[in-house]
Amino acid sequence: MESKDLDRLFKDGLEQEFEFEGRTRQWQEIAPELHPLKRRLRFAWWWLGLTLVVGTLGWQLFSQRTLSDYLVETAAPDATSIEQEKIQTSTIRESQHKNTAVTAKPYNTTQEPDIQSEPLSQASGETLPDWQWTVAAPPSEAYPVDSNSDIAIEQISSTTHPLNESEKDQVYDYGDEEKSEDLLLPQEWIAEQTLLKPLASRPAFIQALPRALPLVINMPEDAPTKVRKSSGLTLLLGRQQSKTFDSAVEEDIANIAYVGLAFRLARNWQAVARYSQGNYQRTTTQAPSTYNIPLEEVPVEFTSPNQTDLQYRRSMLDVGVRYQLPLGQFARLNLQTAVQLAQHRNMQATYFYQNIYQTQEVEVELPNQSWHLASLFGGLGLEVPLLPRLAVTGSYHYYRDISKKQLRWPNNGQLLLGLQYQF
Amino acid sequence: MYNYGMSVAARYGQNRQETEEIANDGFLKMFRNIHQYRDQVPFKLWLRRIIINCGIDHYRKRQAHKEGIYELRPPITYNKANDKLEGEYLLQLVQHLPAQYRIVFVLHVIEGYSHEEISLELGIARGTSKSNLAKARKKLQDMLRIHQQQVQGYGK
Repeated sequence: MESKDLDRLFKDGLEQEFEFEGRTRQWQEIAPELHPLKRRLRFAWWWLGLTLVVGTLGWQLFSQRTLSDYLVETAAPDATSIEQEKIQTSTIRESQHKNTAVTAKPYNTTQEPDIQSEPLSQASGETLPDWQWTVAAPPSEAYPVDSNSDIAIEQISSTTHPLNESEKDQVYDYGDEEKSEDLLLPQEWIAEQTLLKPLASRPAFIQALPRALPLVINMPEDAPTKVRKSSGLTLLLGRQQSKTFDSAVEEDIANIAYVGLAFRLARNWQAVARYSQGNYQRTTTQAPSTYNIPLEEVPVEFTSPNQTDLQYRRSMLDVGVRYQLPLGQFARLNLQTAVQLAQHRNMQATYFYQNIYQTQEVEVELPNQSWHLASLFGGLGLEVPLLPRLAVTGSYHYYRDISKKQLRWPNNGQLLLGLQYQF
Repeated sequence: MYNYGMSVAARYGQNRQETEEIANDGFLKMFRNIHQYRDQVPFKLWLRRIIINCGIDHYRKRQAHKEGIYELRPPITYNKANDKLEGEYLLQLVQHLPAQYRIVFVLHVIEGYSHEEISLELGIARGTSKSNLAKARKKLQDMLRIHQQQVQGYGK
């Protein structure tokens, strides 16, 4: 046997990993601690995101106000307007006071009674329909609660504001039932008015109500809940991590920032543009041609490197559309598809050539690569409101590389976590 | 990872005890210097490098106290009916080489060191390195020849 054959025989034989009894289990317990800092940092990012999402969801469940502000158009624009007038509404008291003069004719809303000068019944010129009446609720200590007249108390938190100092000083005398009847308003009528009419066209007598008067805003139970219409422009900010699905590629998973804008195209459609750039580092034991990695300065005695290390800076611009699908009142699902344009700079490749006799390392700086169409992707995301215009978003994108140019990683996944602000 | 570390260390130790000694030194160094590890190099290569250095250190210490050391070599065990040369059997053959031959053979053939590098690492002349390598090859070929004869004899 020649020396060369002998060397190859022993190299091949000894390069394999042997089984050693006894300590494997102990080692398996120690092994996860080998990269404590790196692992903890990597997981810390995702734990932070997960905590944020879970915390937000939990908070939203207990914060009806924020949720309704963000996601739900309550179809009662006047409620907000009334709120702006600082009309204090804390409770609804439904009264079963009925007008003694019954008429089948519905209340004529075109006639706007002036309650500043005369009682409602006189101002309208008509008797009121046989509807339930709603009485403005006085402070409980000032208004003797009558079990016959007050049948329900419920809160509308969306219109509740604490009284300011001047409002606290105002005292209304509801003791006189005749006086308070002037303030009686039919519940359905108010609901209709507040739901359908803007503030400007509301009857003057509503505008003339005392500022601190608890006004009844009856929210119809079947009021449609709509996802808040997207505004024209949405700002996207966050961080993303990419990973290639190839067992022959090891990588230091890049955690990079992104910024983007979304423009409203149609009811649930948005055009999205997102930009990001970061440093990538990948190692492959496959032939460089598999990933369109250029092979330069190959040593004479070798044909292909055993290992290729690649470092580069990649800029990415994702341009596409997304469809927003409301998930009840708590979140919104985003379905996205787009193309990705990419640019590569500062590309450095290190090729490791190894044979039975030696190991050779070749470092090469590769030329920059201009912007080009790199990949197509589809994505699925979740959007959860934090504040009326601010939401936390998480999404996953699957990229399919379509480029014939350099650095072609066939299948990639990307996890994104960020915030979006609607203007 | 433990098996990998032990497999590398086994090339430098003469028996299981020495192998564990080298591997333990390597793992200890690895833990103590884990903060120096950089992602540019695969972790296994980094660990391998550490254990090779421990193997060289072990050899140097052994040479310094050569007089008092009794070389305990385990008997070579192999399946006479199996003419295929398995890795474990080849490892036993290497472990049966005298330490000065074994270290040169492993560093040059398995790890790819040049004779200049070996002479620097072990503090020996370049010619000694070449000579030890040639003697190691000769001894290994002899052992393989014996193995071949025994396999053929078993078949008859």
